[in-house]
Amino acid sequence: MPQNDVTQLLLDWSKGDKDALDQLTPLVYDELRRLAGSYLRRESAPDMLQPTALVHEAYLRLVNQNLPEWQSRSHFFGIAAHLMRQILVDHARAQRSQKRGGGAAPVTLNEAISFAPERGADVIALDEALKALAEADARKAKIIELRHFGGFSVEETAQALGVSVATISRETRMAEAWLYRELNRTSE
Amino acid sequence: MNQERFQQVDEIFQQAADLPAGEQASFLDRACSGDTALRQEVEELLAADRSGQGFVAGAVRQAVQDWDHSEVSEGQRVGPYRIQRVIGRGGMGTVYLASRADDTFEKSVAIKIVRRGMDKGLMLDRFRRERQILAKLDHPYIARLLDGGATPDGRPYLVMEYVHGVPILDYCELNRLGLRARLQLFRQVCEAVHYAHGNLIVHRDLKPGNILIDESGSPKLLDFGIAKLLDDDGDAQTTVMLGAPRLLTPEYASPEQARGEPLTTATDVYSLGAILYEVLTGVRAHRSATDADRVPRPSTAMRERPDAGPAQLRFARRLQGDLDNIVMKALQVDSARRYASADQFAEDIRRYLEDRPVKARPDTAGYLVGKFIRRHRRIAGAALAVVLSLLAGIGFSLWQIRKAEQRFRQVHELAKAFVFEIHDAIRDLPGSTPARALLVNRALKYLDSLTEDAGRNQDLRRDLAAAYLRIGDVQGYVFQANLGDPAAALASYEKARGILEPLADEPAARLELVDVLVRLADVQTQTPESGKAEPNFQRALDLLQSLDRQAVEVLRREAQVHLGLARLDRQRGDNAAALDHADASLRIFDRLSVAAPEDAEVRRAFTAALNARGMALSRFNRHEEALEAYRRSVALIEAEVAADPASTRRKRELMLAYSHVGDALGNPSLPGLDDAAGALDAYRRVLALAGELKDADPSDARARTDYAIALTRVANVIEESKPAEALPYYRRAIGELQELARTDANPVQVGNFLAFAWEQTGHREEAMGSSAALDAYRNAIAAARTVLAADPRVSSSQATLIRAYEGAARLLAARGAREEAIELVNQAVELADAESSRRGATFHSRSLRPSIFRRRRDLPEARRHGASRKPRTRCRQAGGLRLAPQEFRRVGSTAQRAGLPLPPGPAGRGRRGRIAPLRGSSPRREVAAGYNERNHERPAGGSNSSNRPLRPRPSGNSEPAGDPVVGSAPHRPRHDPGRVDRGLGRIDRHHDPGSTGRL
Repeated sequence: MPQNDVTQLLLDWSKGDKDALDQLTPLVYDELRRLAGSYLRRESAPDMLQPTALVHEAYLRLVNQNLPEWQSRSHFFGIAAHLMRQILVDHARAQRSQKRGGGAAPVTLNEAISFAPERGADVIALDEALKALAEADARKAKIIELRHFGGFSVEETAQALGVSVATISRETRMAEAWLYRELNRTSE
Repeated sequence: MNQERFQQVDEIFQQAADLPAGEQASFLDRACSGDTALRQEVEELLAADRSGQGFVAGAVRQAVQDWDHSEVSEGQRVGPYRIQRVIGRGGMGTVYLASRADDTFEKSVAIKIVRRGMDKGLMLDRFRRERQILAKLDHPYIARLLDGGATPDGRPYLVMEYVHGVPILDYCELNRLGLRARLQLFRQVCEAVHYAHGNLIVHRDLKPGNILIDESGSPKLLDFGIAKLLDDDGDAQTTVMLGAPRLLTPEYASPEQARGEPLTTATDVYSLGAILYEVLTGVRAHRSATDADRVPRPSTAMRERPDAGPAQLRFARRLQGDLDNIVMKALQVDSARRYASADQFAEDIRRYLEDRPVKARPDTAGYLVGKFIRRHRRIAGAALAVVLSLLAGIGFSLWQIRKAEQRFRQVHELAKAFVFEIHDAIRDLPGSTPARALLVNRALKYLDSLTEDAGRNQDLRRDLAAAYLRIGDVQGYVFQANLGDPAAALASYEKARGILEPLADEPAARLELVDVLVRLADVQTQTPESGKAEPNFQRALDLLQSLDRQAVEVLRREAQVHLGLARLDRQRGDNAAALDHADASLRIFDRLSVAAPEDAEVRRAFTAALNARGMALSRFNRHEEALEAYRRSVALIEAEVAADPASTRRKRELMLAYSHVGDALGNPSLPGLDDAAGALDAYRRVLALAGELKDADPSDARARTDYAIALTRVANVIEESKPAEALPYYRRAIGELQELARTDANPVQVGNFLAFAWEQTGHREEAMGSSAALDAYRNAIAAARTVLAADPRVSSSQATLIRAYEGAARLLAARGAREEAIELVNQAVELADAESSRRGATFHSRSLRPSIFRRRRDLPEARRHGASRKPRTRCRQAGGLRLAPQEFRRVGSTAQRAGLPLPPGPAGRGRRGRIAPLRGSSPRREVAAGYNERNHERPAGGSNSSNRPLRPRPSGNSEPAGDPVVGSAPHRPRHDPGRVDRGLGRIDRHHDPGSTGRL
C-alpha cells in the first residue's frame, strides 16, 4: 500500500504542488472503492456502509499517522469527500446508462423484485444541484460535500474551513433547504 | 442566480429561519420591503427547510447502496448464465436478465443476486435444500424457480423463469378491466396461491408487483417462498442493523407479519385481501400493517377517493355489501377469522359472481357464536328457544320499520346476522351463557343505535319497545327459557317502559305498556326487589281500567296481572291473597276460554293460574282441592298435546302438571294426601313424558335433567320396604346425572340431584344390608361437597351431605372404624352448626345436633344443645330417637294413620314412618306431641291427613314453561314447615333438587 506515497503527495499538495493532487486522486479513489467493496463483503457491512467510515478507514490506511494531524487529516478528508461524491455519482451514471442502454424493457420488474424502502433523492441530481450551489456560494457546497460525503462533523468542518461552528450550522441549513428546493424544482 | 442576490436571500433566510413561525411573515414584510421575487424565494426556502430535513443524507445513503447492487456487470457470467442487463433493483438485491451461456437456443431467465447483508445467517446448504423444494412448484400461474447458486464471492443467487408481463394493478388499469374481469383474474391468483399452499409453501410477500399478467392475460406469481428462503434463520439483527424494513412490503403485510410472528397461509390470504382491495378500489388498504384495524370498507374507500366522480360512485355501490364483506373477511386482523384458505377466498368470489349468497358476513356475533360452538359441540334446548324468540321478536318488529333506506339497511344487516349466521350456529348452540349473552348484546347494540335515530317516529319507537321487551324476555323472564340475568332483563324492560310511557295516550301503546309492566313485576317478584313488583302490577291494572274491559286483549292482561299478583303473594307468604288472586285470574280465564278458545296464550296462562291456585290451596292443606286444580290443568294440557303431539313445549308442560298431581297425592317430601300409589302413578307418567322428551332430543340437557329428576321422584315414592325396587331408578338417575355432569349443563343443579340420588342409594343399600352402601354415601359426600364448593347456599345439598356423613359414620362405626366415624360425625355437626347459625333456628339441621352428639356419646353436650328446644327435648324423652322434625311428623302421621306402634327400622334415620330407636322404646305419642308443639298448624293427635301442616314448597315451580319438572324437592328432610319457606324459599328455589331449568 502506497502509504508513504500518499503521505508525501498530501504534504506536497499542502505546500502548493498542484500536480500532487492529480497523482493523489486515483490512489485515494481506488482505495475508497476497494474499501467499500470489502466492507460490502463483510458481515458487519450494513451498518458500516457509510461514506464516513470509508473515508476514515482510507485515511488510516493511506496516510502516515506519525504526521501531525492538522497537516494531513483535513486535506485528506477534503479530497476523500470529493472523491467519494465522484465515485457515487459515476456509479449512478453508469448504472443509469446500463439500464437505459439495454433498450426499453417491457417488463416492470422493478417493483417485482424490489423490497426497497422509499428511495432517496437521486445522487446524480444532487450532484448537479451541488454544482449550481457552488457557483452561487462555494463554501456552502463544500460544507455539504465534507459533511455528507466525507463524514465530517460540524466541528471538523468548521476547522477545515476556518469558520465558526455556528456558521457551519447555519449554512448547512440554508444549503440543504436550497438543494431541496432546487431538486424539487428540477424534478418537476 | 448571481452571488449578490444569493447572499441577500441567504441573509434573510437565516434570520427568518430562527424566528418562530408566527413571526416570520411580519419579518419578511420588513426585510423584503416589497421585493416580491425576493420574498417568494425566501419563503420557498423556508418551506424546503421544513420538509427537506435529512434528504441529503438519504440520497447519499441510497447512492452507496446502489453502488453495492451492481457489482455484476453486463456480459459477466454467473454460474452457467450470462448477464445481459439489470432489470430491477431493490433493497434485497438486483435482478438481471440473463441467458444460459452454454445453451444452443437462447432462453431468457431472471437472476436475482442477493445483496450483501440480506443473506446474513443464510446457510448455503439450507438455501440449496429450500431452493429444491421451491423448484418443484409447477403451476401455470407461478413463475418457476429454475436454479440457484452462489457467485464466486459467495453471494447467493436465484434463477427464475423470466416473465413478460405487467403488474396486476397496471394491467387492470391499462386494459380498463371491469369489475367481473378483475374478479376473475384475481380468482386465478388465488388458485396459484392455493396450489403453493398445498405444497406447504407460503409466499410471505404477496403484493401487486409480484403478480405479473402476461401477454395471454394469465397471471404469473413471482418470488414464491423467496422471502422465507432469505429471511429464515436470518439473524433478526440483520434487519435491525440495516435500519431497513423487514423483508416485507408493509402495505400488504399481515398484522402478524408486522409483529414478526410465525407466518402461515393465513398471511398470504391477508395479502391477497389487500391486493384485491387495491385491484377493486385503486386505493391501498393501508400504509402499514399497524393500520390494519382501521381499514375502511372498499366501497367507502372508493367513495372517498379524491377523484370520485359518478363512475366511482357507481362502482362503489357495486362493491357495497358482498364484495365489501369478502374483502374485509380476508383482511381480518385475527387470522382465524379470515378465509381458511385462498381457495375459500376464490370460492366466495365465485359465489358472488354467480349471485349466490357469500360466506363472508360483516364482523359479527355469528362468527363468535360459531367459534364458540366449535369449541363446545353441545346443546341446550333453551338456547334454541332464545335465538328463535330473538328472531321472531326483533327480526319481525324491525322488519316493519324499514321505512327509510338507512333504516332498511340496519334492519337488513340485523336480519341477516340473525337469520344467516346464527341460523347455522344454533343447531348445536350449547347451554352456555356466553354465546347467548353475545347475541343479546349484539341485538342491544343495534337497538340502542336505532333508539338514537328513532326521533319522534311513534311506530318505530313502539317497535323498539317491543324489541326491548323481547330482549328482556331472553335475558331473564323467568317463565321462559332465559339467560338467567334478571337484572339485565329489568334494565331492558325499563328501557321499553321509558319509550312507551310518553306514548301511552294511544290505547295500543297503553296495552304494550301493560305488557312491559307485567313483565317487570313478574321478574321483580322473583328478585330481591319483589317490593317493587306490586306498584307495577297496580299500575298495569289502572291502565287496563281505562280500556275496554270486555276486550279479549284487555281481559287477558287483567288475568295475567292477577296471576302475577298470586305469585307475588305466594312469594310473600300471603297465601290467602295468593288464592284470591289466583281465583280472580281463573274467573277471567274461564270467560276467556269461552271468548277466545283458540288463544294459546290464554290457555297457557289458564293452566298457570290453575297451578297457582293449586299451590295456594296446598299451603292451606286443602290438598283435595289443590289436586282438583292440578287435574284440570292436566286435562287442559292433555288436550293441547293431543292436538299438537309434536310440541315438546306442551309435552313438558304436561309433565310438570303431572308432577304437581303426584306431589299433591303423595310426595314423601311434602304434605299431601299420602296416596303413595296415586303419586307413583303420576310420577310414572312424569317419567314416561320425560323419557319421550329426552328421546326427542337426546342432546337437550334440560330434558335429560328432567328425566333424571323424574327417576328420583319415582324412586323416592317407592315404599321404604322395597329397596330393591327403588334402587334401579336411582342407578339410572345416577347414570344420567353423571353423564350430565360431564357436560357444562348446570353443574350445581345436576350435582345436587346426584348427591341426593347417591345418598338415597346408600340409604336403600344400607336397608338391604349391602356392602355397597358405604361407597354410595361416600359418592354422595363427594358430589355434595362439589356442589357446595360451587355454591355454599344450596341447602338441599347441605342436608344431603349431613345425612350422608351420618350414614357413612353409622356404617363405619358398625365396622369398628370408630375414629373415622367420629370424624365424619364431627363434620356433620360442624356443617349443621354453621348452617344453623347462618340461617337461624329454623334450619332443620340444628335439630340433628343432639342426635349427633348422642352418637358421640356426648350426652351433656347433646343436652345442652337440645335443652332449649322442645322438639329435641321431647326427642330425648322419647328414648333417644334420632329424628329431624319432619321425620317426627312423618312418623307421627303414618303411625297414627296406621293406628300402629311405630315399627323398628334399620339403623338409619327414620323415613316415612320408619324410625331408628336407639333404645328400642315406642316413641309414638311423644313424637307426635313433640311435633305438635312445634308446629301449631297441626292439631294434636289429629289423624286427618288433610290437616297436616303447611309445608314448604319451592315457590315459582308450577309455571308451565321453563319451570322445574317436579314441584318439590326430593330430599326428605325439608326445612321446618311454614316459617322456613319465607326465609329460604328464594334461595332454595334455584338450587333445590326439585327445581330444574331455572338457572
